[in-house]
Order: sequence, then structure tokens, then C-alpha cells
Amino acid sequence: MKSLKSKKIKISLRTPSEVMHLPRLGSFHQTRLSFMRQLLRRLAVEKWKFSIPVWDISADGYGTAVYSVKGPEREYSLVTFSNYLPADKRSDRVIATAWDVTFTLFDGIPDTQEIDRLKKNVPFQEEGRLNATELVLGRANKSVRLWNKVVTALSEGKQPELKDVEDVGYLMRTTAVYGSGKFGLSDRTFLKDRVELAMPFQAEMLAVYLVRCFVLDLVEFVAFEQGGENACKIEPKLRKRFGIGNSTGLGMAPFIVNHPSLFDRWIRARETAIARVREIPIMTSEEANLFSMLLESCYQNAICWTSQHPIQISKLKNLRKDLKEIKGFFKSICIGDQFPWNKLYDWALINLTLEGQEALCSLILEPYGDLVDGLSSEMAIDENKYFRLDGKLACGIIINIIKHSFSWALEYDYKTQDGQARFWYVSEDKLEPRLGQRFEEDGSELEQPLAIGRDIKELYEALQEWPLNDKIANFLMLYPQHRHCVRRVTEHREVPYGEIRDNLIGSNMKPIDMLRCKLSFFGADRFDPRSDRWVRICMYQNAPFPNELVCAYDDFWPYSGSKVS
Amino acid sequence: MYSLGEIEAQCKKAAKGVGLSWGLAEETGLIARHLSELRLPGPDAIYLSLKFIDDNGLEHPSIYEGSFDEIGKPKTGLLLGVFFLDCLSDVLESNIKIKDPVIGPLSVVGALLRLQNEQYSFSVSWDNCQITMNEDGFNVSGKNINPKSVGSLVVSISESSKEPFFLKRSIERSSIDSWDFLTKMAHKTYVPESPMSRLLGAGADDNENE
Repeated sequence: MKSLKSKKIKISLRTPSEVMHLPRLGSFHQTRLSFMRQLLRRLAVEKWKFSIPVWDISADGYGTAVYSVKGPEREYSLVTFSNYLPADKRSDRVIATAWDVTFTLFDGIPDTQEIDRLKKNVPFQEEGRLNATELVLGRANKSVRLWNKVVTALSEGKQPELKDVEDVGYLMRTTAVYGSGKFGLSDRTFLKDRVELAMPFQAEMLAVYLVRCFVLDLVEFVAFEQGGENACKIEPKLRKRFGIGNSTGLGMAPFIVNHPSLFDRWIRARETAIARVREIPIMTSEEANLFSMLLESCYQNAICWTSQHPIQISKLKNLRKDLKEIKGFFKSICIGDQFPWNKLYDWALINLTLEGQEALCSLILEPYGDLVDGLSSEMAIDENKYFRLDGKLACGIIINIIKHSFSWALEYDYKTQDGQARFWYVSEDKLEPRLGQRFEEDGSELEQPLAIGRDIKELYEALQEWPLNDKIANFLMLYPQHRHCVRRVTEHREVPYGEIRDNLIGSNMKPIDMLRCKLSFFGADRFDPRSDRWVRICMYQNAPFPNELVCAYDDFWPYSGSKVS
Repeated sequence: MYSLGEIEAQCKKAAKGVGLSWGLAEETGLIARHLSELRLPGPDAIYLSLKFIDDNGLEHPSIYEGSFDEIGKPKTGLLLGVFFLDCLSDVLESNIKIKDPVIGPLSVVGALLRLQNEQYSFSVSWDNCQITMNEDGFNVSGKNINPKSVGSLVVSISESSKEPFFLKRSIERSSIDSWDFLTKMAHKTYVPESPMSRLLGAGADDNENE
């Protein structure tokens, strides 16, 4: 028998230059640290109580409902409005003007007057006005592919076809979920001290979770109204297979560029978790068994996961192949082997694609909640912390930081057409974020400041003409156009994982990678790109419903899909 | 009645719209936010600086080079405040008198509020108004809080042994007189609509829908 004694090794975090490239970021998967999982873990541990104080829905499914949830200190309510929507008005674009369902997350329980006020504003979304008592605003559209099929089946007393459910994954998909002060909503400043909302996007994740509950209740309600006593509810195991969809465009991409210190926290927490697990000297048989079970589930999920988009088809092919290879290699690792996860990781670096490597990084965290979950409390930051420029810094120091940490930016040639093929902009049409072709479209003079690499290189070149020992404040007096980059460069010393190390205006850049990275931190799965800048995902698929949260919470719910059939 | 997030975003875009750089626009948004957090008229203070810049063109930053008291050239509170922050180490522990006209001096206070999480105190005063931040709190005395322009300004910034004390921020929102102007300037940062943009820019069809 091998000795269980083992010397310790120190595994460094993967460096920003290893991690912060779009192809790898665009291969991220959900983890134990994902925001959806953080939320459900809290709801389960703290035994939050759910109720439906208002259900004023017509037989055909239109009206108002309120879902309330009570935690140890506060209550929140999803106030949702279901409206008739003509087919020709149904669009997932930001430029849409009407939706099947609109909703807000209310701080407390709204009275009749509050609900009336919300009814006059929430259905109009960006055109309405919210108050500080509302935390989230959003909307959702029915899945044309699935809604009617499910209603019809249930009204006839039949269960929906599993294949139909698997193919789509949701009955409705959200098309925008706003928070943080937008359209009059409460500012995050006033929420960050609430322990349940302190970590990123917890209010948004709660709203979406409650929308999923509402949508499932709604489809069963409509089926009962149609089918009467012949109708049935969805069988509980199948019910969990319904997530809530999300259709996401370019609006998500600028977020991770515009919030470098926050993005650094997310990546750092994930990388710290990976390093901690790689440092584990010996795995137990329970841990190995759990890993094997989740690996198999992940593999089955990858087989069911479909997409029509060429980018994703290729990635899925790689993922399935990689997961199969992990299964094979893991069998060669014995319980007594030293540093088994590090061994597995090192092998993956050589033998797997980025898809497989990052799926593995997510999977190895699963058996180690005690080591990993505490890191979730480190994923928020006061973004003003590093904002003030230290004007006395010498220009030579700025140059040195650029040379050391932004060498990737200096390597690109932004003067070629390929090097600056695109520009990020905000359209006057409902302020939709868009990406333009610089040499084919008008508007590049109104470019948003997301061409980080190009702008850093311009700063670097301008500084070559300036005295090295002069203060950066003096430089900025004459060249204020470089101010945003000077701040990024100085901030970077504190937040090295805050910068994507690729040319964000290059012809080969795929915005979908930025979307997927952010969505993976939400906990999204089943990425299904519709183009290189538009993706559909599924959230909360397999997640427990409120009645299942408290009695038998399964922390591994993202992997429980393969148990259904 | 706008949220802090809306105020910050609108003022940032408006600053860009009048021609300031993105970096200065970011500062502008935060100045408006910091003032609004304390129920001071942040956007209206920013408006005064931006309107001046829009009417008269950009101030040449070199007016500040080596001198705080160049005679005859008006300065905006917005850029002056940013300047004080950038040159903090140079202006510490001295009583600086600006003898030129200052447009929208309240923005200087908004900029210095950036120091609220650090160990500094400050005092800014002009005709019939003094605003101080120190370990005892944030205090406004006088009635001339957001004048369009003042003939002179006195600023002192000191290191402190403690962080300044602040009461809990008010969640109440105030009306903003200058919102229309800020909206108009912010609109200058949006790309006009076109069929090509609508079709290709977002990577999805109009009726993206299944």
C-alpha cells in the first residue's frame, strides 16, 4: 500500500498571458463559483421561503403574477406581466418594443398601488421609469418551437417529448435583464452591503430564477385551462430539464472590457480555485468517484448539446473528443498517486484542445467545495479603488509597465486594414451596442473606447517623445486623449487579470468569445451561437425548484441532466 | 429623478459629446456621481463646465502649466478639479488661490470627493460658500452652492490621520435642471441609424426569433 504522506508543492496561478486570450476565455464553462450556483447555494442553506401572493392570470395566460422570496433579513418579489404578443412583434433584439413577458425584481412585497405603478412602466421596458425600490428589469419571449407543443401535450394529459425539451431547453428566453441603476432602478451602491446581493449579479440571477418558476407554472396553468380535467402537470424530473433561455448580443462584451478590476476578481477567483485543487497531494476514492460521475454527466451533456453554427459545431466536436480522452486518462490515475489533479491538468495541456482543458478546469473543482466555495466572496470589488490617477508617476514607469504587461498590444500592427477592421459603437436606435466594419460603414469617428491594444500602443508611441522622468500628469495636460489608457496601465499593476490580451478591433476577433466568458461566470450552459456576436444559452437547466431547494438540495444540479432518461 | 448610474453614464457621454477625451469623460461621470451621492447638484454643476466648453471650445490644458493664477483666462471647475487630483502631491498642504474666473466651481468639489476613501481632507471656498471634507464629516456652509461662475476660488488639501467621516448616503433622488442639455450632448456619441447598421451591427436579424 502506498503511503498517503506526501510533500507539498506550490502551484502558481496560471499567468495572465496564459489565460487572458479570447480563444481560452471563449472556452470557459460554468463552475462552482458561477453566480447562479452561488445564489442557489445560499437560498438552500439559508432556507429561503417562496410564495405566490398574486396570481391574476387569464385562462389564455395573460395578466399579472407576483412571486415572493423571503430570506433571513429581507424579502424580494418578482412582479411579472404576461401580455399577448403578435408573432410579427416577437424579436430578441434590443430594438424590440413588445415582449411576451416583462418583469421586475421588487425590494420587498409590493402593494396594489405599487403593482399598478409597475404595470404602467415595466411592460414598456426602456421607455418606462423605475424607482429605487426596483432592482432588476427584464423581459422574455416564448420559444415558438416549444411553447405550443408543451401546452398541447399537457392539456391532453401527455408529457412533452423529451427530445423536444432537449432540443430547445426552455419555454421562454430572456432577451435583456437590466440592473445597476438603469432606467431608474436601484443603484448597486445601495445594495452591495446586503450580504445576499454583495456578489455580482445576484439580484439578476434571482430574478431569472423566479422567472423560470413563473414560466413553468404558467405553461401548466394554461394547459389546465385548455384541457380541464384531462390535463396534467409536467413530471418532476422532466420539469427540471426546462431551464430559462437567454438571448444575448453585443451588450455583454463591452462590460468585461469596461470593468477591468471586477473582471480581474472573477478570473482570479477561478484561477485560485484551479491552483488550489492542483496542489492537492492525494485524492480520496470518494473524490475520484464523484469526479468520474460528473465527468460522465458532462460528456453526456456534450453529446446532447447541439448547435447549427460552424464555430460551435467545431468546438462541440473537440469537447466531446476531449471529454472522452479525459475519461480514458483518468482511469490510469490511481487513488494513491501524488498530485493527481495536477498530473491530469499537465496531461490535458498537451493532449486536449482549449475546450477540453477548460472543461477539465471546471470539473476538477467540483469535489472540493470546502476549498473553492469561499472564493466566491472575493468576486466583487469597489471599482473606484484604483480609479484615481497618480499624476506624479514618471512617464518612464508607464513605459516600463507597458513593455512588461502590454507587450501583446505592441505586437499588433493596427495600421493595416485587418488590424483595425472593426469598431465598437452605440447605435442611436435604442442605444443598441454594435460592431461596425471600419472601412465599409460610417460612424467610426464615434468609436467606443474598446480598442485597448491600439490605444495603448498609441500611448506608448507618444510617450517616446516625452522626458522619461517627467510626471505623467504633465503629459496628460497636453495629451488628454491618452488618459483612459494611462489609467488602465496603472490599474493593471493591481488587476493583471483584468485585460483581454487580444486585438479587440481586429478582423479575426470573435465577440462571441467575450460573451461566452461572461456567461460562463453567470453559470450558463449549452452555448448556441447564432452568429459571431449573438448567442443563445440556457440558464438553470436541471436546477431544483423552490420546493426542492430546501428539502434535498443537490449542489451538482448542472450535471444532473443525464439522470432523466 | 435619475439613479446615480444614469447620472454617471449621462454625464460621461455628454462630456465626450462636447469633445473631451474618454478619460476625462470618465472623470466627469464620477464627479457628477460623487456630488449626487451627497445630494449636491452634480449634473447641474457638470452642465456649467460642459456648456462653457461647448460654447467656447476646449480649454487648452497648458494654461495650467506651472501656474495656478494666470490672469484673464476662465477655467472650468471640471478640468480644474481633475488637475488638482492629478497634481495632488504638488498641491498638498498649501492654500491655493485661483484668481481667474472659475466656471461651475462645484465640480472642483466633485473631483476632490474622489479622495473620500483615502486619508485626506480638503476645503474649497468661493463667494458665500465653503465646502469641507475631513474626519469630522462633509460640510457645506453658505448658500451659493452651484454658481455659474466665481471670480476666485481657494482650495486647500491636506493629509489626514483618518479617512473622512461620511453619514450613510441618501437614496433620495433630486430633479436635474440640465438633463435636456446633457441628453443632447450625449446623443452626439451615438452612431446614426442606417439599414446596414441595423442589419449587420448586432449580428442578428430584426426578427431573431424561434
